Amino acid sequence: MDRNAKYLAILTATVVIAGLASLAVNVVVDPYGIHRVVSIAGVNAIKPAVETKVRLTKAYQMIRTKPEIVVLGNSRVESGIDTDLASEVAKRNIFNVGLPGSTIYELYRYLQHAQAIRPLTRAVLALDVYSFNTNWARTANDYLEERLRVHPDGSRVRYLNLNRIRDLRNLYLSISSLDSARFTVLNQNQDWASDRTDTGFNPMVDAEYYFDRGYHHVFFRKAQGYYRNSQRRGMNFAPSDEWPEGAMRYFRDIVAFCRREGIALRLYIHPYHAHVLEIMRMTGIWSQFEDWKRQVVAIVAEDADRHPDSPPIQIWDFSGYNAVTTEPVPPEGDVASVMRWYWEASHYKKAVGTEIVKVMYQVGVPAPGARPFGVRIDDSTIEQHLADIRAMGQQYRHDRAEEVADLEAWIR
Amino acid sequence: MLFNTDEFVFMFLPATLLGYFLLFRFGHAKLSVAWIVAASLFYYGWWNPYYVLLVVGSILFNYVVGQFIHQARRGDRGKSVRALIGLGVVVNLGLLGYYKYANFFLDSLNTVLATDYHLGTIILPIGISFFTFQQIAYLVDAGQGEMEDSGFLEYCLFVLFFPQLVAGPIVHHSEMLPQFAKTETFVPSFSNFTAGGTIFIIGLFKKVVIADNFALVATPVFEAAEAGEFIDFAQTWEAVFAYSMQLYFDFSGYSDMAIGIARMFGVRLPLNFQSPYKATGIIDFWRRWHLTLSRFLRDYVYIPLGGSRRGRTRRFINLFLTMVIGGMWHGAGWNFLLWGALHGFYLVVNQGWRTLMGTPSDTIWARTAARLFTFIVVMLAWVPFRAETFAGAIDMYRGMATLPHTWQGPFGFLGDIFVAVGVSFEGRGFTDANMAGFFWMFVWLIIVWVMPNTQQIMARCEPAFAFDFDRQMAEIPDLLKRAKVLFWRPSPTWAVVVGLAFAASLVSMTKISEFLYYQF
Repeated sequence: MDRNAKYLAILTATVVIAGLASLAVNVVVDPYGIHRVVSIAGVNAIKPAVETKVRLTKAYQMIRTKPEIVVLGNSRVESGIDTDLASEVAKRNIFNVGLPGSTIYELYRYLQHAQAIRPLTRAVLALDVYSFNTNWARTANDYLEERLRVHPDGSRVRYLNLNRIRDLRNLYLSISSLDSARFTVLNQNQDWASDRTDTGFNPMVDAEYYFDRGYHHVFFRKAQGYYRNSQRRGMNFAPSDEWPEGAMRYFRDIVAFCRREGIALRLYIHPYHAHVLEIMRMTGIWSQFEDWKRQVVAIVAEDADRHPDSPPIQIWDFSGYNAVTTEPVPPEGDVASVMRWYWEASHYKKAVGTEIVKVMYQVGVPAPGARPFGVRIDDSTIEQHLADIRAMGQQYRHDRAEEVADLEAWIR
Repeated sequence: MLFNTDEFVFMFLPATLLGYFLLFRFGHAKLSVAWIVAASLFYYGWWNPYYVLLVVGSILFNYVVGQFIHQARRGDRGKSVRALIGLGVVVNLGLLGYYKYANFFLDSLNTVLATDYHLGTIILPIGISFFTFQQIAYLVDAGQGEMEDSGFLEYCLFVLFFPQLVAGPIVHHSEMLPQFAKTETFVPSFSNFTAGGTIFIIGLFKKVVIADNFALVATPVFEAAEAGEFIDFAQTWEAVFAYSMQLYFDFSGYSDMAIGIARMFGVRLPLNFQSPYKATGIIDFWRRWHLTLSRFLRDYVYIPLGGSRRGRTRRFINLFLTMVIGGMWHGAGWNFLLWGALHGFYLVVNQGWRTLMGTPSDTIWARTAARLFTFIVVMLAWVPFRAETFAGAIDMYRGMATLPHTWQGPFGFLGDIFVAVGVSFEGRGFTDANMAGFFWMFVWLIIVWVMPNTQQIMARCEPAFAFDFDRQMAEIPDLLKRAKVLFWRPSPTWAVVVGLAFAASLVSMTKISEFLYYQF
């Protein structure tokens, strides 16, 4: 063999072997938890690198796990609904499609994706008014259309399209994946390292972070973030540049899709902590929040009218001033107290998720002190319901005047 | 299509090579050249198909004018020759001026005269500076009879040859046309393929593994300067150093890739870099940095301006003007003008110094001191070159002169003098990360000063056009010259090393960044 030919052959072989090594590392260490071929405690059992790539991870993970029930929502669902526990108790393959900061559009697309993988029996959709804000981008940076099984119109995505090939190359043959693999191995024993389980659940734990500065600090920080975001972005459901058809359209699509495909859909509105409700009031988006609930209820009522012979889709509103959402925040400087229901103003603990499931499906025994919690609403009760919440809000501000004043002082 | 993309490495390049090999193999030598021309047009059209018309129009115009010049010369009509050259130069510069400088000119006019003229956004056709210059040189030389007539296909390849089409090296017709006219050039060979492929991989590695990582250090600080944030000594010097490295590895990496790709087709391009940071003076620097541009500026700007033929003063003025024009060639902006002016000034000082002091001494200490000084002034000049705006450049300089507050005491009365010339002692103290940064700066300086460059590593396979093996080897320190492992040959060990470099580059390629010289 000519020595130049031999050189080329060895060079090519080296590249191929190096590529296979990269592939092997990414499959075995599996930084994004897509394969879970081997899982060794202290080596790769937890998946801290998923944090910034949840949309990528879950799209591929679902293809492997083939869920029959999905819970859709944003990070509140991801850390609030313990799908590990739910899968075990219900003996069903339940997947947590909680995508941080997701929009209603993205949730519709992931619902389509799940249905294309395996026909679903049930779906739970957690509704967040902030996911409908058309002043925000419709999709996040780590979202990719071609990663999903179907296009928005329901047609199949071609398996070998350029974006998908590029996505897979990034996943298996890139420095960023190798870096994530390294990050995964090095951070197994950090108590702050985040994780995602194989049902898509984010099992947050009380980390040092909380004990350093206490819940008050974390809580108010988050509240401040909410306040600033609402100030900057406002709230808008109408069409915008990125959302040419507005946001409600995708909610309507989800309802229609579940009907058509025979998926038993159930809806709930998040149990925002009372502080978030107060911030909505302070930033002047309270009336839009109420309007949004009216629109949600109306769309579901339309669907019920169209299908008089089937049971209507249930909507549960947990967002009032109730036993859970009015949990007092420990005073500033208190680093010992641990809150029972909340991580901070916007994220509730899995104990809340468990109560949500008990209420929505009328199962189990309520935890002590966890009622009243959640109200089923429809188009005949919505106005009374909104009036009730307004009244309870007034009562709350009266009873907790100091806490509310503290909040107001903090965020401004 | 950038060289550092999957599309180029895995699709365009293999497909183009395969077509060229097959056409040649089945006895269609001419067709295989036409195939490269077609592939080059496709390559150019990838960015913006509309500009294919522009480059084709430019080629037709220049080729026809060139033909007329030949005829006029043969008919010994000197006046027509000059008129035709004039026409050619004016049209070429007009095109370049419209696309590259019209808006800058109007903005400046608007500022000065407080008027408000607008042309709208003009998208710069990529590589226009490169193909315009090559063709101007062709016409001027045609008028002086310095070349033979060439076929249209060869001429097209001379302008369009995709390895060097958009960012150089700026090739000269006298280097390319004779190569293209010979069928032997295009005979496929394994040795061309391995040598070319290796040079390409070295270039790719320099770009995506080295340059792109230096960018991570440089970019945030330059952006902070543009945003008017507070920046001080350690971070600015680190950023300017990192940018100096980024630019060198980016552009010389690109040039290596161009040379390597051309070589896979049997064509030898001229060298564009000769370890520029090894320069011991600014005159020396310009014999090492972007050689093909320096050569063009010398032959088609400096010498026509009068060069050194009209006395020392005129010579210095010509030098200065040439560098300012060279600066503006890079882009329409005051920052490029400042960069060119700085280098013009440096060159004049360097020439003046030589006139006064004679030949510099040649001990290792003198060389090292000269190298360090040259590197520092070159770094200082990169600041406006990198900054997006003039104000951003000034802020960067201010940051570089914002020394740590802890230094004021130790400097004593010298500190007062520093303050008087604009230095301040309001910077932060050094962190461990800063100290690590300084250490790495030192390491990289040793690397660029001592290690052999791409063409020296590849010296055995005549990597470039008119390659001077002895001159190349003479530059390498004796100690390294004896280390035979540093010099490439198609051995199994090198295959593994280059294969690993290629693999490292491929995994790093997923974050696509443009070549810095694509904007010029």
